[in-house]
Amino acid sequence: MRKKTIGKRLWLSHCFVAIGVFLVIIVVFVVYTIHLLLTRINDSNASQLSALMNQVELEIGRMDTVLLNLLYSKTIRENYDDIGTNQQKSWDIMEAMTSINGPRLEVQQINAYTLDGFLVSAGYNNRMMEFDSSGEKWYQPTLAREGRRCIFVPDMDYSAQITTGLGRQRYMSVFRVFYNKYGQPSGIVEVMRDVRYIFRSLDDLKKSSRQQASVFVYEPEGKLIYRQAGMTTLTDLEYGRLIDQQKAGGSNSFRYSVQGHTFRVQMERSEETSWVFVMAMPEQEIYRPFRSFIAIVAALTIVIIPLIFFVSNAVAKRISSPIKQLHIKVAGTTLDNIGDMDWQVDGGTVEVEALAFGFRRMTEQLARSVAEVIEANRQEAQARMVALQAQMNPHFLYNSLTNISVMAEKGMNEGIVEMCGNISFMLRYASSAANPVVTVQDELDYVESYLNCMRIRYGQYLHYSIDMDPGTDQLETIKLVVQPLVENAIRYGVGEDSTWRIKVRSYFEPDDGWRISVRSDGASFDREKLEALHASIRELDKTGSYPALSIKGMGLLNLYSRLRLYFGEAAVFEIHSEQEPGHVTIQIGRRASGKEKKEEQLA
Amino acid sequence: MTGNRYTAIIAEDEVLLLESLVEKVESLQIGVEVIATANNGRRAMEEIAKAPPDLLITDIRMPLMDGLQLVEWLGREYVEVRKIIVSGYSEFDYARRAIRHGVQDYLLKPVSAADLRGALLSAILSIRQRGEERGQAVDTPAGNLSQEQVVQFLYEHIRANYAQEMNFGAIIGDFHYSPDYINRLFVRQYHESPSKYQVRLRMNVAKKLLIGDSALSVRQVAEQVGYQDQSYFSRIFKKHTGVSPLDYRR
Repeated sequence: MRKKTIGKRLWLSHCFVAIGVFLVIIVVFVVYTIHLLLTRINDSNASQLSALMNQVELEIGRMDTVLLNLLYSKTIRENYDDIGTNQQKSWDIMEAMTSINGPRLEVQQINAYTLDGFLVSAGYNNRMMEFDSSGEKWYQPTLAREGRRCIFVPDMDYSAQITTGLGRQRYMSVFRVFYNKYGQPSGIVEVMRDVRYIFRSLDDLKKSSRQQASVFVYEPEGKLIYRQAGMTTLTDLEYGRLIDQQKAGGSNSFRYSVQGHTFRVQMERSEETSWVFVMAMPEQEIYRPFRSFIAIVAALTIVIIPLIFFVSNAVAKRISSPIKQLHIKVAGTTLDNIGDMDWQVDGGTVEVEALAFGFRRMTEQLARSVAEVIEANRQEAQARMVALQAQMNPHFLYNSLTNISVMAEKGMNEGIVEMCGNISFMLRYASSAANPVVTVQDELDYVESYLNCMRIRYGQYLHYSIDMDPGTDQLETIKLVVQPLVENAIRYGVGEDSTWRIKVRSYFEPDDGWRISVRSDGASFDREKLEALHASIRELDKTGSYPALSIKGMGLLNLYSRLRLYFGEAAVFEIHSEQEPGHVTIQIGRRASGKEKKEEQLA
Repeated sequence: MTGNRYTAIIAEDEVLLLESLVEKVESLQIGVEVIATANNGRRAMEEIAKAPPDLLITDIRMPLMDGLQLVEWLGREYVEVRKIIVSGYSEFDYARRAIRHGVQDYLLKPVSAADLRGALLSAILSIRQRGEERGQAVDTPAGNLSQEQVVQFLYEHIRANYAQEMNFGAIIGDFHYSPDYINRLFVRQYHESPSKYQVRLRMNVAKKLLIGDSALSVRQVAEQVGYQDQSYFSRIFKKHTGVSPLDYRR
């Protein structure tokens, strides 16, 4: 598996947790809210339905009140049996009915039927006539109820049963049997009221409410007596199915499906009228507010999830970017910049800052110890150099002793004395560590002692000269810089006739300090070796560091590094190698510094 | 080699030491005569070519040409010359190289008379033995040799048996290599063919015998270095040195 970066891992887990929590909250919230709303809608439907029912019952009660007042009116009771036979009494009854009904016409029409075929009406129509009511639908049921009220609602497509004067309206009637003063049923009294008045509250609801509910009222036998359809077209419900579902669910509230539509149905049975009130609301109407609610929540989710991505990404970056910065800094640390590395990390946490601090401490210590090691190495190199320069070449001593022993064999006392004198002077000079700075005079005296010894050894094969230009003898130089050049000349600078000719000279270079040159015959430097030497000198000038002392044949370089150490930029070290006739001149010395140059020019 | 006389050349760059060595050799009185001195290797080479000695006593550190180069050259050109090194340097590397070039003795400076005497006597003994052994064949090594080893063997074989008649083709053939190819390798390494190298060794020895032992006739010298025909020897000798054997002796 590929490794993830800290940033990515943080980002992913952040996103995962945040989005998960967010979604869970959203889902719980939505479900709970919908449940709450549904419950409230159901409750409100139920309460609305029973309020409607009460209104309707109240209206019917008012009709019944009028009816009962009629039945118990003295005038009506005394004169009822004379309807049809006595015109005056019939007028009295009509008058009494009109007065009981009052000027506001509680009911639109009052009909008093006699069982022997007469009718007295008051209300919209006032009349007396013969009317055989025994064939009417309500006749038998009313008699069967023996004085209790009997409500009759015409069919939905019913035209007014009393067309004359009442218009084509549906009227609801309440009947009661009239008992005469002898307790015998002698007629039926009917009060009629416009159905619209009865169900006025339903219509009012319809007007005032934006709800899309439909309300139906059924008689217990299943006849639809009132329908208040909502905006949604709804064919009539099957009464039998409603009753079955109510019984099956044991609840007045249930779902009802018809023709691909689903409705939420609320049922209520009126105790007084035994009518069944049904309120049906299409589920899509119920859920309409939820749809917009869910749409808002979804929109919110769509907005918030990218926000979570963005925020968690920013958080992850905030944590990982200091680590990345730290990594770049650590990777970019080398021995060269270890000391001056800036370990400040932008926007770091406490932990990262601590890490950066730790790195800084570590690099500081590292830089310190590296510097210590370098310094130690430098000092060691210097110490070794001083030791080397103070050490006399053991071969020189050995060879000198060999010569002394040979001279002793031959009894050459003067030669022995001279050689011993030279050697003891040289040992004294080389081993006095007090001060590395000497005069040119001292240094060339030392060279002369050395060459003296050599002349005893090589006899007529060695020719040399040492010259000091006036004024150069008291110049300051460092110890043991000329003798190695002479020794080098004896090793390599022999002429073709096996004879050494060595010239040592100190002099002023016009306008540019002073020089000591050692010139010898013989094997000139080959070009490659000279190139290598010059390259090393340039390297040394550039870095200022010592070459390793063990490099073979680099004694000259060692010499140059000593000159550099004491004279700095002013040090001179030049090799002039002539191929023909074979001369090598090595110059060392000191350039005039800028200040000295000026003084010389002024002088 | 007249009687018990042996010749020596001394090479030493330090004058006092050279004088001292010459005096010591002569004062020992064991029949060694210093016929020439040189203060560097190159001059010693010239002296040896002029008149090959029985012995070379040389320093190591010398200008122009050092002692090790000198003995190396000597081992190649004058196989009969015995070599003694006198050095101020008791260094293992020098000693090892000296031994590889067949150096008889390695003396440290300052040289005591006793050490010198021992080294010289040992050299004389070796010269005498060599005189008796001259002409004896060296066994052919057994087993498979590489081409380089065959070339090396051929070189050593010529140095040891220069006085013998040699059929190089047959010798190389024993090792199942092509004689032409081995010849080419030999030339590449030693800058001349095996037969020419053999002739040069013979001439160098002849020069030594002619001036070193006046009791030997030219015929005897010719036989000693492997020529039965004296006039043939004389012709080759003249071609090699520019003078006839008799003139060379004078």
